Formats: sequence, structure tokens, C-alpha cells
Amino acid sequence: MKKTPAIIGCILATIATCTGLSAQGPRPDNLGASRLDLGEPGIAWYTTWESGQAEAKRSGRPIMFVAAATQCNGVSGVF
Amino acid sequence: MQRYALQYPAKADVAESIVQDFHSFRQALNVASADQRVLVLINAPPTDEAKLRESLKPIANHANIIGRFHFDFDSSGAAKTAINPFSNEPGIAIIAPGEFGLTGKVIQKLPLDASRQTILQALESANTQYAQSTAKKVYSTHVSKGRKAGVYFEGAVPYGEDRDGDGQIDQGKGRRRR
Repeated sequence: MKKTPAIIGCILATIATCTGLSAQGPRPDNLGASRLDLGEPGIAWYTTWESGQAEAKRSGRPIMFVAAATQCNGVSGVF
Repeated sequence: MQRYALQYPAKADVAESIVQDFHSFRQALNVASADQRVLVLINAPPTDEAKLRESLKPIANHANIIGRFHFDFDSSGAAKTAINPFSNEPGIAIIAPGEFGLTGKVIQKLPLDASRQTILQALESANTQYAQSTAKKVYSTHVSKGRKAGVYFEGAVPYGEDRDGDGQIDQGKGRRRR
């Protein structure tokens, strides 16, 4: 059995803020492109709380909870 | 993260991790677009879904797959107006999300009983194809282009920012109104 230390990423893409929860976050103009190249592996997110919690219980790993929006002022397709 | 991760080593086989799912296909397509990852839509009869969530675990958690795709289980037909070509026949649709996450193009569709090797090969091929044919998004350019194109994603929560930290969406100067 492979036991790998890892934190479960759980992202809920339903929060409607544009640049995160920080009151002093960057403006859209300050944000560029992701440093991750297309096709390369990123974090394997769980995108519902229920599934993230279930996997955390199953594997005994902690949850890294991130709230993010997949839109900016209604323009979709971007975090 | 590494420090905390080391304190909590997995107590179960990570290759058996639960396969990701979304609240809705609409959300799945938008997230796949935002992450610029290929979306795998599993449309299965309700009686088969639990079995597929199990059988897909070795695929979704495969070293060449994990973190490169998003997975969504949906048999509601919600993809009808978004993806092309659409078919509500059960199957595994491999979808390249559109630029604004409102549409998607079916790269390949496989039967639910396709072999593990067939699915793996199809996913790896789709990932390569998508990565080679898609330009990486630049946040500001994307938002600007979307505004000019009139893109508007209706959400349940009011849009805006709380930059002054008072717990309310800012309404004053600098707040963009639509």
C-alpha cells in the first residue's frame, strides 16, 4: 500500500469575490498567467465539501480549504 | 504545507482516493476552463454510477492523470446547451473547455465499459492535444476580453469585492457596475 504524505485540496468555487478574501488583494491588472504549464499536473482539488471531507476521513489527511471564484465581475473561466 | 503533510501521512492507499465530482456540470465546465484542464464527464445511469466511481479510481489517481483533469458525474443532460457535439447517451465524454467556461468541445467519447488502458490512452492524448492547441490565459487580458464580449456568468452570490475588509461588498468609488 502506497502511503504518501499529502494534504487534500478542497476548493469551493462558489464565492463571488474577484481576487480572493483578502481586503488588500491584488487588482486584476496585477495578475498574470499561471506559472503552471498547460497539461502539467496541478493540485487535484475536491470541488465539493462533502467529497473533500469524505476523502480526508478515508485517508486521514488534513484539508487545505480554499475558497475561490471562477469569474471576475461575471467574466467566467478564470480564477 | 509540506510540514503539515508530514505530520499527517495518509492512512489509506492514495491510489484509492475518491474520484472528484462537482455540484453541477455548469460549475465543472467553468472550473475546468479556469484551470485550463480537460474535463471528463461521466454520464451513467444512476444504477451504474456507484460502480463507476469505484472503477475509475485507478484511472483518476494514475500518475499521468491526477491533477491534470477535472471529473464530473452528471446524467441530467445539463451539458446539452454547452458542449458540442452533445449526446445524452451514457458514456465518458472528454471535453476541452471553452475560453470562458460556458461551452466545451467533445474531444472523444468512450463507452462506460471501455478498458482502463483505453481510457488512460484517450485521456493522455486529449491532455497533450489540449495543451498544444490552447494558449495560456493571462488574467487581465482574459477579463478585459470577456467584458468586451459581454460575457456574464450568473452566480448565486452577488459579485464584487470587499477590499476595505468590512465584511460587505464595496459599493463606493472604483466599484464596477454592470
